[in-house]
This record gives sequence, structure tokens and C-alpha cells, in this order.
Amino acid sequence: MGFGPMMSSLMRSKTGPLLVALQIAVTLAIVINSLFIVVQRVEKINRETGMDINNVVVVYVRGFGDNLDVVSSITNDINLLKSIPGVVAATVSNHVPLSGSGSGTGLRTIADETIDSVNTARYRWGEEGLEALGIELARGRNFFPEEVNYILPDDNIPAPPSILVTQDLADDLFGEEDALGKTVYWGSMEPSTIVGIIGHMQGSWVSWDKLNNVVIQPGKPAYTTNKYLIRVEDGMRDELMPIIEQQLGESNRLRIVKSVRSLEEIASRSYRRDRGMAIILTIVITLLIALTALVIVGLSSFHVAQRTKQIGTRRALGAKRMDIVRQFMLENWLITTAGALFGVLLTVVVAYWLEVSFELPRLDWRYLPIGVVSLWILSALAVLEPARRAASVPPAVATRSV
Amino acid sequence: MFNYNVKLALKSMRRNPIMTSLMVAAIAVGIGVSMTTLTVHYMMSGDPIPEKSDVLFAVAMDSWSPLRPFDEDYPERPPHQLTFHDAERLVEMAQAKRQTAMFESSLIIEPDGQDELPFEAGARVASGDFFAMFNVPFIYGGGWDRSADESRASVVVLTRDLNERLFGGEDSVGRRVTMQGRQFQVVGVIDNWEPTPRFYDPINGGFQEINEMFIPYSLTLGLELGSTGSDWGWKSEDITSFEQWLNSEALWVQYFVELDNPRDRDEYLSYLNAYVGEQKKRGRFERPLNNEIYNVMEWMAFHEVVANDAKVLLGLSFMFLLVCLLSTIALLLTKFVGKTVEISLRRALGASRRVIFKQQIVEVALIGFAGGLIGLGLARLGLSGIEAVYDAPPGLVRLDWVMMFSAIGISIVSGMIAGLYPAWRVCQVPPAAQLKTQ
Amino acid sequence: MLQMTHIQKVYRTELIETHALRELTLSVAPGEFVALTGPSGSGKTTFLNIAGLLESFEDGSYVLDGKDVSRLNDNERSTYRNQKIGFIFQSFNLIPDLNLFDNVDVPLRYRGLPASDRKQRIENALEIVGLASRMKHIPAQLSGGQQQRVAIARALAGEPRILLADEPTGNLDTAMAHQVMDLLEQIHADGTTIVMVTHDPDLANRAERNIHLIDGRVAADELVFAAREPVPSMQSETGELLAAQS
Repeated sequence: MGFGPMMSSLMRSKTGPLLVALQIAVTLAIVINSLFIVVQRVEKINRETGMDINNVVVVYVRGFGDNLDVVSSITNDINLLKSIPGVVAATVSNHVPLSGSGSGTGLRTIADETIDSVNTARYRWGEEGLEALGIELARGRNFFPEEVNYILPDDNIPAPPSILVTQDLADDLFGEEDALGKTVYWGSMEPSTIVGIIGHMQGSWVSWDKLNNVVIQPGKPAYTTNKYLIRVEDGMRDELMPIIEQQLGESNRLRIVKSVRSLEEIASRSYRRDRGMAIILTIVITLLIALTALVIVGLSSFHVAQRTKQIGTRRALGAKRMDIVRQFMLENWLITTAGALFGVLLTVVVAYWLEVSFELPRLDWRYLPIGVVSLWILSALAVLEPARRAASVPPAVATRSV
Repeated sequence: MFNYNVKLALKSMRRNPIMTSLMVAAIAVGIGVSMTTLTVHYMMSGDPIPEKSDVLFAVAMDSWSPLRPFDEDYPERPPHQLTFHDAERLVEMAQAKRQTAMFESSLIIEPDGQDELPFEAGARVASGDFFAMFNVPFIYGGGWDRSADESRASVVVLTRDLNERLFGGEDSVGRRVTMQGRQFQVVGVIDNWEPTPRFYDPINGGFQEINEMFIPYSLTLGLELGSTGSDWGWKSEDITSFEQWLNSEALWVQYFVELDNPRDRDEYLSYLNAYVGEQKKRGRFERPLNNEIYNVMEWMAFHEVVANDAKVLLGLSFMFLLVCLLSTIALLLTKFVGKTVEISLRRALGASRRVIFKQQIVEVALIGFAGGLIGLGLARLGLSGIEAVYDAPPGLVRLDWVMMFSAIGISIVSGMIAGLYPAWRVCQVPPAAQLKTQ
Repeated sequence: MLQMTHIQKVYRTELIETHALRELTLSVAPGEFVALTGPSGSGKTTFLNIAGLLESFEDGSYVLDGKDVSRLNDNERSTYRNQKIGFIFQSFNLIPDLNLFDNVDVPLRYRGLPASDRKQRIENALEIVGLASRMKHIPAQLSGGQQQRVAIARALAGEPRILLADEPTGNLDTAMAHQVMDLLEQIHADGTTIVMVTHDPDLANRAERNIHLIDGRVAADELVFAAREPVPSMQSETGELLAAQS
């Protein structure tokens, strides 16, 4: 059956096909936009962290009591940890990367309060810090042990002479210039010199646009609550975590082990909003596709049943089985394409609304042709069975008297 | 007659079970998805304390750096936490009907008995007025009063769960708890209190679990209680002691007031302005005068408690419902067209158009009702899923009666709307038109 | 034109075996106008289905226009049917969503003819049945008689070798029935072979020859002699003169 007659036939009883086309259009708009968001979130979660995240264990401890010597408590803990077989390195840190909790500060290249500072996350740990997180130093050097001292809450120490920064922070501060060896100023206008540059490392807040800006000060924080970062050998993490917890707990009753967690789990928790959104949208997409496919199958089957006499007549007039299959598939393709055309328009409108109202990133235009092609394939698959059933209507149906 | 309609409708639905299931499923899924997101939205944006949301106000004062605003994206907004001393002073001056300064901290509890290890518990450090202000429900005892605040009494209010853990759930008023090496007296135990969203502290996440205990704000210095929330600083200061920390320009205290009625807000704002004016004379508050007070709904809007993601989901899920409706209409149309023979027979036997129309509407209403019931079940599942995925405490987001009735209502109405056009179409069949063999 | 020898057709269900045609043998010569009669259950419809290559049969042989079609596969049957046979059904079997032009077009499309060729044939055919002016109308806008005439145009457009008609006037009133029969006689006069199945003896008498079926077999086969009035000649667009002969 030709294109022309099919179009005019569709136009004559347009409500059914129009509804299906409309449904396809709205489905396309939702699916493409949702898929884009899902991909965005998944990419965000899978960003390179710059750390050996699967092999790091984080321990939160808190001492109590008036007689607690925090410094010796920490020293003993770290020594104990390093003595456990399978532990590669351990340090105490002021904060835990990717945990959603941390310190932020601003750095300047000139000691002038009036100019804007560059925002960054700030960590403070000892010379084992890089090893404990599995961070690679791209250039320069790590801290020397002499540079690293314990720091108590009330200590008001000057800015350290040597600091480490990430490449992204260096770029924000110095642009094209080489940052190694240069001086930066803290909020107090005190200077520090950059002695080492980390290729890439993520800080504390996963949804912050300056996530890759990190500055590291040398020192061993000795606060009320302290965090130990511990790196273990490949594959040994899960068996070592309970051992770590038990040994630390037993070694000092005046110091509570608040929790022992893996950095992987901490990071995963920080991403729960994004992961949640991705999961929810994936479910929505799946439901929609299933519903649309089912409706196409249902409606086409019904049409086949309704038009049995017509199919028989066509066969009697000389149509082969393939002609009948082709007819139903072409008809379905026409409706789908009408829906797809309107759907593309609707997708763009919805994408614009999402971008403007919710500051979501702009839709990648390549999703549109991919979506339409996928839609064609899905629709063709859905109508295959009803079309096959149509083709098996025997020509003798034409002469039946009912 | 209605019974007859229902009977006929059920028969018709049974005749083509696949079509019927598909229609019910379409509506159920549409209702399930949109009710899930609607409930989340409703809970996030609903008034958590409707009886006094217009007389409770959060206070923000601009003591930030003269060189740049607190928030570059919204330069007109003052920072929404106060310095320790500003908060303390305002509480002491007690200008409003009730007020509370507060922040979150954590303490080590040393349970009685040698076997029990000490553990850390989260606390909300607040003024005594807190409990009356926020209508916190008690199961035993009550809060503390202003004299306890002033005398820095070592008192504590426990939550039900903490009371369960320490005292087996008994009435523990008058008993003692050792925390940070000091004895505290229990003055009250509060019932499960989960205002959703947690409007009085949206900074630390509108849906976090509520703190495990409450202690007086006046104990901050004595116990050297550090904040476990956010603290912001603009000024580089020499801080070598906790006391200096409390005296610094660091902003980390939240401050709420209760006024007698909403119209008093201007008066209170002028009072704040006068306070700031006084501070300016001492060289503080170098920025231009910029104080704000926000009632509960304004405060939640300020913090965008309804996250962007939730709004996006709401929009998408209503489009989803639209798709489900379109499916239903399409399916209904085809189903009805298949019934033309029966309809024309009925018309020949004397049924008027209205009767036929009514019959079809009853049928789609039934389908809508069935879809709504199943959809509610799906929504319940969806909400559990959301809780799991976002790590919220179970039961936090729930379907109350309003939502449930709305769900059924929406589904019946949607079914009927979906059925309007197909029902009208099928009524146009002339009597006995289909009875010839052609 | 049409030769059936010892045709056997059996319908089998789980419970019953029906012998619709038993040892059916008959021939139709080119240019004949044959009426097939018989009581209900005699096998008329089955004969039509087999003659029209709509169904296969168990035993016997069938030669249509010189070709043995006994063992053709489905596609081959469809093609041959399309080329050689024109159908006229009792309930017209027009496609309701298509206009008259497109309805007549249907069998031509399956033949794969180019558009201009099809257009000419359709216009000719509709001209012959006298409905060319209503080409763009849909079947619902026509009376029963007119619809059947369109069906006849559809059957003619492909220049079939044989027309198979199944109770062509069964759903028409007397006046329309006459119109349709006049048309059929006209077409026959032009040289087309027609086999018409009917239960109406008056109709059967307008054919040249009556074959009577009972229980799936030929029970009687006789020629008809009846007076005829001259049929006015009709002229088609290509200028062919369809002269009436009596």
C-alpha cells in the first residue's frame, strides 16, 4: 500500500494515531532529557579522584577525660596502625576528602585584602599523607619530617613555609605560569611557598565547582576529634577494617573509636543525591519505554483484529504476506515518525526549561538523533508480532459472510 | 441502577483482561510515580509548624567583611548565622516573646557501669525557650527555664531513643548522666519529633536525623563545646584559646525568635538595627546596615529546602502521568470501538445516549479506581525506595490521609477525563447500525 | 480457462472432518458466463475459494488459464491471483478509510505498476461503471449499488482473465441489483469470463450456463436460453467501443 493512500487513510480516522503519536512525543521528551541527566550524574560520580580510593580506610577517634594527652595518643595510634600487617601508610588529617566535610579558605598571589581570593579546600597532614591516600606528586617535593609538627587547637601557628597545591589550584592562581616555588598569601596575609604540585586531587565537597582546588599544609592536627587516613594493600581492606577497629579500641580505653569506614563508602555517601537521581530517572525511563512499547503492541494487535476482513480482502486481491507486514510496519513508522518529529520539538522545549529553571547543563544535541533512531527501532520491534499475525490472516477470510 | 452499571462494567472489563490490565497498569504506574514525587515535594515544601510558622523568625545580621559580600551570588543577603557573642547578647536582652540561640555539637557520654563503653552523642545546644517555641512534645518532664540558662545549670533533655539506650525507656527525670566528665540532670525526655523538613536548621541538611539531646547554650564556654556545623569567618584573627574563639567574628550560631504576632516583625527588625548601630560604634559591623528576619516559610525558601532535583522530578513525573493518560485514552478508544456492536444493540433496545455515556464513565471510573489503589501501593514502594536511596530515616517521608485520598481522587478523575472522548465517540453509534451483516 | 479435475477439499478440526468438495470436476471455457448454484452447505463458497486460489486443496488438479496451479506456494498464488482473477464479493469489501480511487488502486499496487499506468486504468475502470465523477469520495458516501459498482471497477482495473463473483447482488435492492447485473452482462459481452455464485434462480438465469452443486459435487450442468434486450453500448476514454451483442 502506498504512502499517499496510507496518509489519507490515517487522516480520516486520526484520533487513535494522533494519541499514539502524542504519547510517543512526550515519551521521547522525557526519556531523552532524563537519560541526559542520568549520564551527567554517572559521569560526575565516576570522575577521577586522584586517590587510591578503594584501599583507604578512615578512622574517626575522640579522646575524652581531663588527663588525656592527645599527642601521645595519636602517636601511639599511628605507630600501632603501621605495625598491622597489610597497612602501607597512615597519617592523621584535619579532614577527610570527599566526605562533604572540610575546611575552605582563600589564597591570593598578592598580599592585598581588596582583591578577590581563589577558593580552595585545605587539608593538613604529615609527610605520610600523600602515601596514605595514594596521591601522586607531579612536580616538586613532599614535606620533610622536620616540617611536620603536632598542632593543638589553641596553637596559633604562623603560616607554614612550605605547602602543596593541586595543578588546578595553581592554574587558578598563576594561569600559564609555573607555580612551583612561587609564594601565595593566606587570609591573614601571611605567605607560604609552593614546594610541590599534585597532578590531580579532589577535595571535600563533590558538588562544588572548585572540587579540584586543594592546598595542603604540613602538620599533625591534634584536636578533640581526629581522623586517621590509612592505606592498605590491594584487596586487604575489608579483612583489615575490623582488625583495625579492634586493635585501636583495645589499646586505649580513654580514646573512643567513633567509626571505621572505607573512603570508598564515604565518597559514595557524598554522592547519594546524584546516585538517587540517576536511579530514580532510570526507573522512570524504563517504565516509560515499557509502557509505550506495550501500548504500541496492544493497539496494533487491536487494529489487526479489527481489520481482519480488510486484510483478507487485500490478500484476495493479490497481496503477499510480506505486503501485509510491510503495510502495518509502514503505518506504524508513519505514526512513530510523526510522534518523533513533535517529540524532538518537545524535547528541546523541555531541555530549555530544565536549563533555565534549574541550572542544569545544556542538552548535548547528539542525544536527539540517537533518541529518534532508538525510537524507530523500538517501535518496529513492538509492531513486529502484530504485523506477523496480520500477515497470517488467510485470504479466504474475504469470502466469509460475517 | 448504579449497581447494574458496576456489574456491567466489571463484565466488560473481564471480557478483555489484557486490555483492562494494561489500562489499569498505565494509570497505576502514572499515579505511583507522580504521587511519589508529589509526596516528597509536599513534605519538603509543606508548612512544618503551621500553627505558628508566621510568628517564628530566623535572624540574619550582616557583620561580614567590608570588602566583599558574604554571598557573591546573592550580594544583598546577610550571613544567616551569628557570632557567639551577638547571639548571647540578644538572648540576654530578651526583646522578643521567646528566643533561642543554638548550634550543634557532640559530647561523650559515660554510661554507668563498667561494661559500657563511652560513646559520642550529638547534641543541640540551645536556650530554654527552644522547646516552647517549636512546640516540642515531651513524654516525661519538660525543658529548662531562663533561670537555668542564666545559672548555667547542667541539665539535659533526652530524646526518646537516647533515653531508651541509657535508661531502658523509663521516666528518667531527675536521674543523672555523666557527660564530658560532668554530671547532668535529666529534666525531660521528648517524644519522636521529626518536623519535616527540619526547618530550624536547614544548613545541616533538611532531612537529617534530629539530635539526640539538648543542653543549655550557656554551657558552651564551660564545656568548650565546638560546633559540628558550619562556621564562617572573614577576619584573620589571633585565636589561642576557646574564649577568644567565642569572642571572634566567626559566624556559627543560629538564632530564632518568636513574636506575639506577625505584625510585630518590623518592630523587632528596628530593634535589631538599633543593636547593630550600637555595635558599629565599637568598630564592628563595618558593612552597611543589612539585617533580615525570615518567617518559617521564607526561611525554607531562602535555603531552597526543596532541592532542584526534587522540582525536576516533579515536573518530569507529571509529564509521565500525561503519557499514562494518553495511553489510557488510546487504549480506551480502541476498546470502545470494538464494542460498537454491543452498544448499537443496546441502543436499539432503548438505551439513550446518556445512559450509554454514563455506563462508559462508570467503567472508566472503576478502571481509574483500580489503577489508583495499585498506584498507591506503588507510591508506597516508591517512597521507601527514595528513603533508601537518599539514606533518609525510614518512615520520614510518608503518605498521610490527605495524599492518599488525593491519589485515589486524581486517579478516578484522570480515568474519567481519559474516558470522556472515547465514551462520547461510542455514544455516537446509531442504534442498530452495526446489526446488518455489512 | 478454468479446469478442475477431481478436486477434494477437507476441513479438519479437532472434533470434525468436513468434506466440503468431493471429486469436483468442472470446466469453464474462455468467454463463458457461468452461474454456480446450490443449497447452503453445498460447497459453493469453498469452490469459490479454491477457484480464486484463496485456499489450497487436498487432492485433484486445477488448471487456470493454461497453468497448473495445484501446487503453488502462497506467494505464487497471490501473484497469479492478482494477475488473472477479479473478485466481486457479496459485502463489497471496500476499504472504508480509502476513497474510491485508492480502493480501485489496491490490486494494481500489488502488481507493482507505475503510477501513470495505474491512474489510467483506475480512471477507465471507474468510467466503465459510471462513477468516475466520485473518485475522491469514500465508500460511506455511496449507496450499496454504487459500492458494488466500485468493487466491480476494482476487479476490472487489472484486466483479469476471469471474474469470480460471490452473490454480487445479495446485499442490494431490486433496482440496484438490476444495475449491477446489467453491468456484468456488459462486461461479459466484452469477452470476459465470469463465474458467479448465487442462490437466486432469477439471477442464475441471466447467465449462459448453470452448474448446480450438491454435497460438494456437480449435480447438474445445463445451458440457459433466455431472451435478452440489447444493451446500450458504452464508450471508455481510450475509445474502445463496447458493442452490445445479443
